[in-house]
Amino acid sequence: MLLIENISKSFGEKDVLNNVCFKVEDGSIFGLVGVNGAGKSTLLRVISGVYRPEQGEVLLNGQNTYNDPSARKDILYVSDDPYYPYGSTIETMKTYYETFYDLDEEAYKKYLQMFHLDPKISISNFSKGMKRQTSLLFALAVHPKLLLLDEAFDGLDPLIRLSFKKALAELIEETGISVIISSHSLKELEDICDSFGILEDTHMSTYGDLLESKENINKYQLAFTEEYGKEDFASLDVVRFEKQGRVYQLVIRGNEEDVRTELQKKDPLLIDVLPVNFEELFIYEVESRNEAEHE
Amino acid sequence: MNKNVFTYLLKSKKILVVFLFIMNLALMLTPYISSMRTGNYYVSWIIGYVFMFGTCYILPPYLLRFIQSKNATDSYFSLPVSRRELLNTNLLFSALVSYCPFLVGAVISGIIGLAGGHIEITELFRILFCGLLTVAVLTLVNSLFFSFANTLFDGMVMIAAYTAMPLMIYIVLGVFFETHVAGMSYWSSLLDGVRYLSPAFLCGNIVGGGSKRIVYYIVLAVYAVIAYVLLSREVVDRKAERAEQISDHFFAYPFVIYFYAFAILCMITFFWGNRNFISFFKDSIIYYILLLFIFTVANFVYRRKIRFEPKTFVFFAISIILSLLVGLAANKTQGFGLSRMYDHNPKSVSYVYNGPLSKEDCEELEIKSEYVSVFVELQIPERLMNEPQYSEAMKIMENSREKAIEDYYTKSDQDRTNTGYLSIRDNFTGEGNYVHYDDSGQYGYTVYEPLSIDQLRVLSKITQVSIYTDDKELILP
Repeated sequence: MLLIENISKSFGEKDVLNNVCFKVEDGSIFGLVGVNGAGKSTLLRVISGVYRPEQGEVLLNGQNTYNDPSARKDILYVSDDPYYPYGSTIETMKTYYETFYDLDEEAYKKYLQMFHLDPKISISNFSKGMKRQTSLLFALAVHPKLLLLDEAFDGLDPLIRLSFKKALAELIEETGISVIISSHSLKELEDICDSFGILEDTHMSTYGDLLESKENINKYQLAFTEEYGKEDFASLDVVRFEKQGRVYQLVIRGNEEDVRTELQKKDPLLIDVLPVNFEELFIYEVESRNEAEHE
Repeated sequence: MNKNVFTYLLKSKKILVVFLFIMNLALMLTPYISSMRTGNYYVSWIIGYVFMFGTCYILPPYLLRFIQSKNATDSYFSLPVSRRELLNTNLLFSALVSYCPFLVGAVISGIIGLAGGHIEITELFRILFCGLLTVAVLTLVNSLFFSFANTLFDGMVMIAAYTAMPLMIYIVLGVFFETHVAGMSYWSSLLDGVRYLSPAFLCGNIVGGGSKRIVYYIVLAVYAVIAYVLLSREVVDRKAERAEQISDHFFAYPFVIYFYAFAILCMITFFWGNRNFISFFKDSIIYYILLLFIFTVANFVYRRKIRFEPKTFVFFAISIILSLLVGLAANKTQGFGLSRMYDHNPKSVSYVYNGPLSKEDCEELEIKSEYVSVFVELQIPERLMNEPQYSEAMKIMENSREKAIEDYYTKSDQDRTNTGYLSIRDNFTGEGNYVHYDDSGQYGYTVYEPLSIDQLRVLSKITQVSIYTDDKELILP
C-alpha cells in the first residue's frame, strides 16, 4: 500500500504541494487529475523519490521512498518526457532496465511485439508516440509494485491506447501492482481507474473511489409549472444550475434517492436523472470550488 | 560503489572506454615509432600524462551531466540506488577510464626504460602514483565545480572559471607587487604561494616538482578530501528541481562574476592608483565602462536575459568603491607593509648598483661626457658582515634602499628622470664564482637620488666602482 502523508513541496517561494494526503491500495489504479500546473508531475516525482518533500513522507509498504533506495526497487516512474541517452536504442535501454530492475524477458518480448517497435533503431529517430510506447513497454515489462505514469496516453494513437489499457489491466490482475496515472485524457482514465484524486490549489481537494464519487453526483433534468431560482434549491447541494424557459438542468451532489425526494416536494412535471462521467465530475468539482471561493 | 551502476556504465560506455584506451596507448607509444630508443620512456609518460589530464576535464561533466538535466534526474534519482552510491560509482568509473590507459602505457614505457637502464623501478612507481593522485584530485575538483551549476553549459563555464581563478589571483597580486610594493616585482617569491591555490598547476608539476614534491602531494591530498566532502553534500542534498534552471548557487555565477569583476577592478586601481584622482579617473574611466559592459554580458549569460536591475549596478558600484579603497590603503600603508618585509639582519648580502652621477660630482672628477653611469657590485659574505669597512658600505646601501622605498610612494612618474637602480639579494651562500642565490630575498629599487662621489669612494675601498662615459671606463680610485 502507498501512503502519502502530509506532503508539502515548494519551488523557491512558490508552494506547489501543501499537506497532500492520500493512499493507494494494492492492485488499484489511481487517476491523478488536475488543471495545468496543479502539481501532478511534482507529486509523482515526490512519490518516486526524485524530489525531496519539505514536509511529510511517502511510504510504500512502510518504506520511505526518498530515504530508502531499496524502496525504489519496487517503483517505476515514467515521466512525461522520458530520458533516453543520445544514441540509445530499445536494446541499450533494456540493459538499463535489466541492470536496475527485475525485467521480465518474456513480457519484454511480448510487449515489444505488441507495440511493433524495432529494438535496434536509435530512439532519437522515433516519433513522440513511439518514444512514449518505448517507455510504456519497459513499464509493463519491469513489473514494479508501484507504477507511476505521467501523461501516460500523451501521443498514443487510439489503437495503442486500447492495447496498453488492456495490457495494464491484465498485469494488475496477474501481479496486483498499484498504478498512479496522471493524464488530461479523463475519458481514458475513466476506463481503467478505480480511484482518483483531484489536485487543486496545492492540495488534494477530492479523492476516493471513482464509482462512488460518480454515484454521489448526478445531472437532473426537470420541468416545473412555476418559476424557480437557484436559491429555491438551497436545501440541496447544487453544483450547477441552468434554466431554459421552464426546463431546468441541475447538477446536484448527494444520494440520488434523497435528492429525488427533495425535488418531488416542488411538484415537477418531469424528472430525468443522468449519470455524470469522470470528465464532468472533474469539471463540476473544480467549478463548484471556484464558485464557492468567489462567493 | 554500486555494482549495478558500474556494470551499466561499463556496458553503456564501452565504445568511449575502448576509444580513450586505444587513443592514449597509441599516443604514448608514438615516440617509439620514430626511434626505438629505450630513453623515450619519459616523453611517452608526459604524453600519457597530458592526455590523462585532459580526460579529467571531460569525463566528470560527461558522466555527471545527469544531475543537470530534468528528464535525466527523473531517471537517475528514481533508481533504487542512493545518490551517494550513484556519485561514488560515477567518480570511480571516471577516474578508472582516465587512469587505466595511462597505467598500461606508463608500465610498458617504464619496462622499456628499465631494460635500457635509464631508470630505477621506484621512478616508475612514482610516476604511477603521480598519475593516480592527479586523476583523483582533478576528477573530484572538476566534479565539484561542475556540480555548482544547473546546466551542462554552465557547468563547463564553472570548471573553466575556477581553473583560471588562481591564475587571475596571481596576475592581480603580480600587478599589485609591481605597482605598490617597493622592491618587489611581478616575479616576487612571495607570490609562489599562489601556486598552492591551483590543483591543476600542482598536478601538472608533481611529476617534476623537485624538493617541493612532498608538499605538493600533501596539498593535493587535502584538496581531494575537501572536494569529495563538498561534492558529496552538493549531490546528495541536491534539489533535483535545480536541473536546467539558472545557476544561482552562491558558488556558481554569483560568486564567479563578482570575483572576476572585483579582481579586474583591483587590477585597474593598482595600475593607475599612484596618480592623483583626476588623472586616475580620466585614464581609467574607459576601462570601467568596458568592464561594466563585460559585467552586463556575464549577467546575461547567467540569467539568460538582459535585466537592468538597480541592485546589480549598486553591487558594481560598491565593487568599484571597494577596489579604490583597497588601492588607497595599499598606497598609504606602503603596500600593506610588504615593502618593509625584507630581512633587516641578513647573514650575507649582495648589492648591485647602477646609476648616474650628479653634475657636481662629474665636475669634481673632470668628466665632460654626456653619458655617465656608475656600476658597483658588492658582495658581503657572512664572515665579513661585522668588518667596519663592510658595515659602513652596507649602511650606505641600506640608506639608499630606505630612501628608494620612501621615494617610491611619494614621487611620480614625472620625477623618474636620471634615476638609478639598486638590486639587493639577501642570504647567499658561497663566494666568488660559486655564489648561490636563493629564490627568495631578491629586491629591486628605483633610486631617485644617486649615490654621491663621497659614498662611492667609501665603497671603492672594498669593491670596484666603475664609471662608464661615452668613450671610456674609469675605475674610481
